[in-house]
Amino acid sequence: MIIRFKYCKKNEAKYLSHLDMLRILSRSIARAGIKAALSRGFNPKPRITLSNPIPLGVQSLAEYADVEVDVCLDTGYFMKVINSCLPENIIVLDAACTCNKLKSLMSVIDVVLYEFIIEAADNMSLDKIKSFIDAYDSSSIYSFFTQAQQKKIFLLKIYGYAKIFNNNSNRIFKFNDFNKALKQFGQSNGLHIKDSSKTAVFIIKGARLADPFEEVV
Amino acid sequence: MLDPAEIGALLENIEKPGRYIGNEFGIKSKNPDYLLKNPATVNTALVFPDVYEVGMSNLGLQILYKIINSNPLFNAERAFSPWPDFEDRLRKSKTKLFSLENRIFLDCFDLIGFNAAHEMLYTNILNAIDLSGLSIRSLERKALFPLVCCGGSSAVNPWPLSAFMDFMVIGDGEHVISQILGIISNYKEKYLNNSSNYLKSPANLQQVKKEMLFGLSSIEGVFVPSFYSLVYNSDNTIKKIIHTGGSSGITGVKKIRKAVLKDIDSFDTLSDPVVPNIQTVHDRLNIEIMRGCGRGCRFCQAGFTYRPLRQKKVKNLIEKSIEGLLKTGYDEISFTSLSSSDYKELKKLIEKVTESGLFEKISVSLPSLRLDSFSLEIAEIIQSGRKTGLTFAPEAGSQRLRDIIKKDISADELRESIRAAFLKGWTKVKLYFMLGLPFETDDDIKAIAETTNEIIYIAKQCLDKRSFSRLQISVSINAFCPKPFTPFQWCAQENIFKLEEKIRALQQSISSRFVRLHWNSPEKSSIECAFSRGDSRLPDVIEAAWKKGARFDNWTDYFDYGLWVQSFSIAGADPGFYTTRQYGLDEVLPWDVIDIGIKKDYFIKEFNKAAAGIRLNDNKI
Ligand code: SF4
Repeated sequence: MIIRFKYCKKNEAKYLSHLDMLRILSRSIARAGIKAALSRGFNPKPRITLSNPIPLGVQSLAEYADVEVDVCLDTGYFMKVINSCLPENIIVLDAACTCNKLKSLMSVIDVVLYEFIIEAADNMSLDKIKSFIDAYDSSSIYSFFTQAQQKKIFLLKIYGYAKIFNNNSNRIFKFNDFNKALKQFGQSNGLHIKDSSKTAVFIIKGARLADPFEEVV
Repeated sequence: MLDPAEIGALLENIEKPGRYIGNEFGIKSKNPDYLLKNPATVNTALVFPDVYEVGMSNLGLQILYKIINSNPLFNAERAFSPWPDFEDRLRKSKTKLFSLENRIFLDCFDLIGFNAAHEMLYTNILNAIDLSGLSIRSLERKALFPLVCCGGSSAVNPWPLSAFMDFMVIGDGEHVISQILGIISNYKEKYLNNSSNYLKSPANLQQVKKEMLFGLSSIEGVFVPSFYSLVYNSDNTIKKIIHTGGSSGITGVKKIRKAVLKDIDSFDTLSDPVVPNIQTVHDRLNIEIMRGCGRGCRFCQAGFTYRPLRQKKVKNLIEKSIEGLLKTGYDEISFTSLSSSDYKELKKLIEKVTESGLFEKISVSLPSLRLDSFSLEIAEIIQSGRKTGLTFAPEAGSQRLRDIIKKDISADELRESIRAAFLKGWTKVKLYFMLGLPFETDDDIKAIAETTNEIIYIAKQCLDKRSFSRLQISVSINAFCPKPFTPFQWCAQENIFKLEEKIRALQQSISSRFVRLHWNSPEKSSIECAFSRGDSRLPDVIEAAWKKGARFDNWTDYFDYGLWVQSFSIAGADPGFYTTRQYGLDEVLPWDVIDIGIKKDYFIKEFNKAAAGIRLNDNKI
C-alpha cells in the first residue's frame, strides 16, 4: 500500500536538499509511529520516494512523496500525526492511500508551475519581459497577473516542462538557469524579483493538466 | 535579532545553508513572545566552535541545552562556527554571529558558553567571540553581560584560554550550569531596570562585575582566570601561582576542585535531542552509558580527568534508549562512553533495545571496543549480517611498551581475538597505534609492523581464498602527546622530524597490499601538545594565530603549521618549551591550579612504575 502525500517547504525549509528531505521524512514517519516498508539489503531504509528535486533555496508549496506502508491508514489521521512530527516549515497538506501500484512520481510528473513576484520600475516592462521569456524558450507557457492596487508588482506564472516529450521539441525547464537569466534581464531593465516558488506539479492527461493525486483515486 | 528578511540574502550561494537555519525537530528554546513577556529570562548561547555537523554530534551540548531550557527562568540557544564562506559573508555584510533558534545576535545574550572539547578549537573560539562583536579579551569587555565562559575536556588546563574567558568550568556541567545561571539571574534582575544610573559609572560597573565573578567562583569547578596569575622564573618555568583578585579576605591559592556529578542517574538520560535536518558526523541517537573509565592507561587524559567511573543503571538506559528511538525516529543508536565494552550489562542493554519488538531495524554502534572475546561477541550481535569492520587500539606494538603505557591487552589476547574475528567472517580490521611514546625504542616501532604482518599471517590461515582477497587492514598512527593529569604529563614529546622519520620507517616495513597506513600530522600534534601543556603565555600565541587567519585547525585543509610557528615567535614563546621539553617532576605545573581529584603523588608513582618497566614481558606479537 502506498500513501501519497503533498507537502510544502516554506521559509527556511527551502534550504534543505532532496537528500535532507528523504532523511527528514523517514525520521518524521518513524516518529509518527507509522511503519514504512523497508527496502531489502544489509542496510534497509524505509521505502519513500519523492517528486523531482527542487533547487536549494527555492520555496515549494507542492512537493510530493510516496511512502510504502503495510496497512492502509486513515489519511486524516496520517496528516495529523505526521504534522506533529515534522520540523518547522515542512507541512503535509494532503494525503491519499491506495492499494494500487503507482508509477514513481519522478517518472509521471510532466509539468512544474513556478511563480515569480516581480517588481517593475515602470509600466512598460510587461511587454519587455514577455519578449524576454519568448526569446528564452519559445515553447514556454506563462501568464501574468497584476494587482489592482499595486500596479508595479505583478505575478508571473510559468509552466515548465519536467521532461522531453517524444514528438515535441520542447526543452526541460531548468529553474536555476531561468532564474539567473531573468535576474540578469531584470538588472538592466529595472525589474526586481521579490520572491519565487514552486506552486504546483502536473501530469499531462490528454489536453488537461492533472494533479498527481488523480493517480491514487 | 536578525531581521527575517535578511536571512535570504545572507545565505545566497552559501555552501550547505542548512547549517545556519535551525528549524529542526526537538528545539527547546523559549519563543520570542515568551522572551518579550519575561525580560528577566537569562539567555545563554551554547556554542560548539566547529561547523554545525560536528557540533551537533556533541552530546554535552545537547545535555546542557535540555537542562537549561527545562527551567522557565532560563533560555538556551545554539550557535556553531560559520564555515569560512559564511564567515566572509557575515563580515562583509557586517552581520554579527547569531543563534540558530531566535537568531539573536550573540552579544545580546547574558552568557556565551563554549565547548572547548579539544585544543584545536581554540582559534574558532576567538573567532566566534569576535564575530559576535565583542572584544576577544575578557578584560576589554566592560559590559556586565554577556559573560563568556567555556567548559569541556581541554579546559582542565585553563591557561591557554584564560585571557579570553570570564570564567571556565572544570568537570561535569549538569549541576553547575543551573547554579551559574542562578547567580547571573540575580544580577540581571537587580540591574535590569536601574542599570541606567548606577552602572553608568565605570567604577561601579567594574565592581559589580567583579562581585558577580566572585560569586561564580564559589561554585564547584568554576575558575575565574582574572583572579589568578602565574609568576615565572627566569628560565620560564613557573615560580608560583598567585591569587590576585576576588575578595581581599583570601590568602594563598585555593585550588579549583573539579565538579563531579556523583549520582550519574540523577539526571535523566537525554531521549529527546534536537534532530538535525542535514546530515551530521554522528547522525544517530547517542546514549551515554557510563562516564569515566576505570582502566587508567597512562597516556590517556580522559581516563583520569573523567574519574570516577560511573555506570548508569541498565533499567533506565533500556527505557531511555527505546524512548529516544521512538521520539527521534533515528534508526541508529550509539552507546557512548570512553570504553563501552566495560559496561557490565552491555549485552543485556543491546538485546533489550533491539529486541523490544518496537523497531523493525535498528543498528547499534559502539565507539570504543576492547580487543577481547566479550567485545567480539558484542560486535557479532550488532554487526549481524554485515560485518562492516572491527576497530582495535593496541596503541603500542610490543608487549613491553603496552605494559609501560598500561594498555591492558596481552599479545595472546590480541592474537586470539583477531583469529576469532577472522573465523567469524570479518575481513576488515582497523588498528590504532601511537608513535613517540615514552620509553619507545626502535624495536617497539618494528613491533607495529610485525604485529600487522602477523595479522596478515593469521588471516591467511583462517580465511578462505576469496575472503582473504578481501582482507583490509587499516593502520592508524597518532603521535603521542603528553597531556596534563596523566602519569606522562612531564614527558617530552618526540620532535616532528623524528616522528616523520619513524612514520617513513613504518611505511617501508608495512608494504603489504592488504594494509593501508594512515597517520595524523605530527605538526598538528605538536601544536596540540603546546596547548595541552601551555601556560599564561599561550593566549598571546592563539591571538596572533587567529589574527593571521588561523581557523578550523582541526581540519587538515585549514591547519597551517608555518602560521603557528610564526605566531609563537610573534608572541615571544618557544613551542619546544611546551612540547619537546621534559618537564621537571618538581616543577610547578600550570594546571596545578586545578584539583582534578587525583593527587600528583599518584601520577609520580605511576610514572615511576612505567619507567621501571613493571611487568616486563618481551613476548612480542
Ligand atoms: S585509553 Fe581507553 S581504556 Fe585506556 S584509560 Fe583511556 S578511555 Fe580508558
